[in-house]
Amino acid sequence: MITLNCPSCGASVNFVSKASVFAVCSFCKSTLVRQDMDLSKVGTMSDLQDDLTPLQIGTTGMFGKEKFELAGRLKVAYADGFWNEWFTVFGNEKLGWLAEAQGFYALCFPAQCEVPSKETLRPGAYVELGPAGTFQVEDVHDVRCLFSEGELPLNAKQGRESTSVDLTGDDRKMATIEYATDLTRLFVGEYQDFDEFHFQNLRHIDGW
Amino acid sequence: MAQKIYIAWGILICALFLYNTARGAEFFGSTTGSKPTGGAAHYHK
Amino acid sequence: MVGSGTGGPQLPNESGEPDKPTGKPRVKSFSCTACGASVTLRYPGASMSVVCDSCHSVIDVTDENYTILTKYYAKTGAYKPIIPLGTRGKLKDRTWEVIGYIVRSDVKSSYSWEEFLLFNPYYGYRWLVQDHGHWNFVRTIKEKPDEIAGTSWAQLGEKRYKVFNRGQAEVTYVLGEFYWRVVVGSRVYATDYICPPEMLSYEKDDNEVVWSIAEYVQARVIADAFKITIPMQYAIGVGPNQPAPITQSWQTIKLWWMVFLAVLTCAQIALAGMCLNATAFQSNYPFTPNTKATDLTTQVFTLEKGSANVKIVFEAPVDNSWFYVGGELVNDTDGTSYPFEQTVEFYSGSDSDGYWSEGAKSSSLLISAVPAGKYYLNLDTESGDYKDLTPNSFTLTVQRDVTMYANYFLCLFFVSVMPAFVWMMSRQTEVSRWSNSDFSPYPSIPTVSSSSS
Repeated sequence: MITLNCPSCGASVNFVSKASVFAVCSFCKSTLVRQDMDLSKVGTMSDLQDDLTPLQIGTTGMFGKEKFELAGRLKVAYADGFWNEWFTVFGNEKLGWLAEAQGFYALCFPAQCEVPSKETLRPGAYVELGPAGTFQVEDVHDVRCLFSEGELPLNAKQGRESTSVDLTGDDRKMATIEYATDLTRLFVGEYQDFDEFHFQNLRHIDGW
Repeated sequence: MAQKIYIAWGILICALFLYNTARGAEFFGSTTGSKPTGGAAHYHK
Repeated sequence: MVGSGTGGPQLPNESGEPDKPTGKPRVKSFSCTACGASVTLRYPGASMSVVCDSCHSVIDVTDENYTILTKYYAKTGAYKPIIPLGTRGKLKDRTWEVIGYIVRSDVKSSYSWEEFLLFNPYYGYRWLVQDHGHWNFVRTIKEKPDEIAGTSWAQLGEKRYKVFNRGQAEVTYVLGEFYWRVVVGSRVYATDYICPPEMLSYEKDDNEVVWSIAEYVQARVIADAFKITIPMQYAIGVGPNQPAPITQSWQTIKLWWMVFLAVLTCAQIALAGMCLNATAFQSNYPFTPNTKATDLTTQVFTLEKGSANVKIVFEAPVDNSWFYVGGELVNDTDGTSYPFEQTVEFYSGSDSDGYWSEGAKSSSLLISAVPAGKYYLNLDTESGDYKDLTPNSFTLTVQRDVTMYANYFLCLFFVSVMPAFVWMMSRQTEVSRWSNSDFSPYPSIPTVSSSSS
């Protein structure tokens, strides 16, 4: 864990993962970019209205036999709603993303594979993702970054736009392809039920 | 529950079938003879 | 970690962030864009549309514009949800809050049903669907079942589901809040596949296909969970995926019935094969027609085989006359007696319909389980209606261990009574189940008015 000081307010900013290049100061909400041991402010994150997630920075859980911790969050919005992408840090420096939407939770990891171009993908289309197998496109959404907090391995400034393609495979496998102006990223993983994660240190939800 | 009753019933019927047929008895036939009454006229040799 | 059991885990906040307020959920209120009345949004972090209780307009709450999605003036209280909005109930160990209510109808038949949207911030959304008094607990799934092309089956994992209905469903009436922008009158293509107690369904609109699995729930369970005190709608007929214990019983009983048939048949063949079918004794005896005789005793003969039947056959020259024998089979060693009586009669003639006949010139009787040994017969004979009084003779044949069929057919019957009954009840249930389906495997009785297409 690296601890640096926020250039704006001086508060401690922790980095649990060496891969994190972006963070939001939890006290003054400045958005910070990290280079080695240097932090520079690039903006301010506006408050999030109406948040109903049971997860929070610091929540821990299990995926299979491995334990992970949520170090950061990215909330993305699209035409018909939104979801949360939680930056998950595992003990062995493995990094993943926990996608949370409407009671569905999926954990996925970066994968390297040929992906088709964005234009060819439509809901229902089949895509081969190398050794991961065959997947079917669920949705194609243009998304916009609404909010971020904690630490993240990418520059998640508010308003960052990309196209996100959700795919499902056999059993509970899932995949996400993110097409952004600067890069295309592929993640492959699995859905898991809330109870199977054995979450600890969850956020308290009023009335629940 | 109904299944258990039926299985028991079926085993019973099969058992009764085997027992009776093997010894040459009809289910609803006469199977017992009667001992000699002594007084009745018996014209055996 | 297991929580206190109301919603989901409730654990103290250990992060360094400032304390969040606890207590009741933070609701959001605003003025209805259509009519100005106050609208309350219970889960502003999750819901995308909400219905104004006053004017029944559907409002988009994803931004502060509060755009009207459907301007919709329906009679207030046109439908009254039996589970009031905001009620919480515990189903399968999890607490759910009713946040939305939708009435949908089949486009072709206008037949309608109710759906209650349930919410839990940890587990997401579920639905309770009420149709003809039958309740189902429904969850959306991410897995994609396999619709086996060219057949009426769909498969998910190891289970196969049979197509029950296809149609178009339309949103007719809404109350409460929802996780998408509801438009009254919007339609989806829907297909239901059943495998009681589950139903596998999909809904398809222009943009996406969503699959869900429904599990049948007894109305009683719903009433207990949500503390419903007013009487629930009576369940009509058999629900599409309503479990039918009688049908499950039939599957087991059918199997055992076949086992018993096989056992009986093999036993019959084996035992018949072992029968001696031997003639132990045969002889002719004289008699004078139309007289009685009480002095006939046969010679002693041997019956083999530990215990077997004895068939005694009498053949007499009867022709519109009768010949009666009363006698006993006697064990020469211990005197055990097996009494019997038998009549041989035959009648025939000609009338306006032609030749007729009744009876036969021989008849037999069977004595059960006679032990082996030496035996003889005592016979009293009598005859009558003879026209020709010249002395005649009759033949007596004693057969040992003949093949019997009566036991076999009797046992077949006894072993089939219950299966027949169970089959009928099961079939009645299944015919009733499929009577609401366009894909019934049972021949349907045409009705004047049909509830489905």
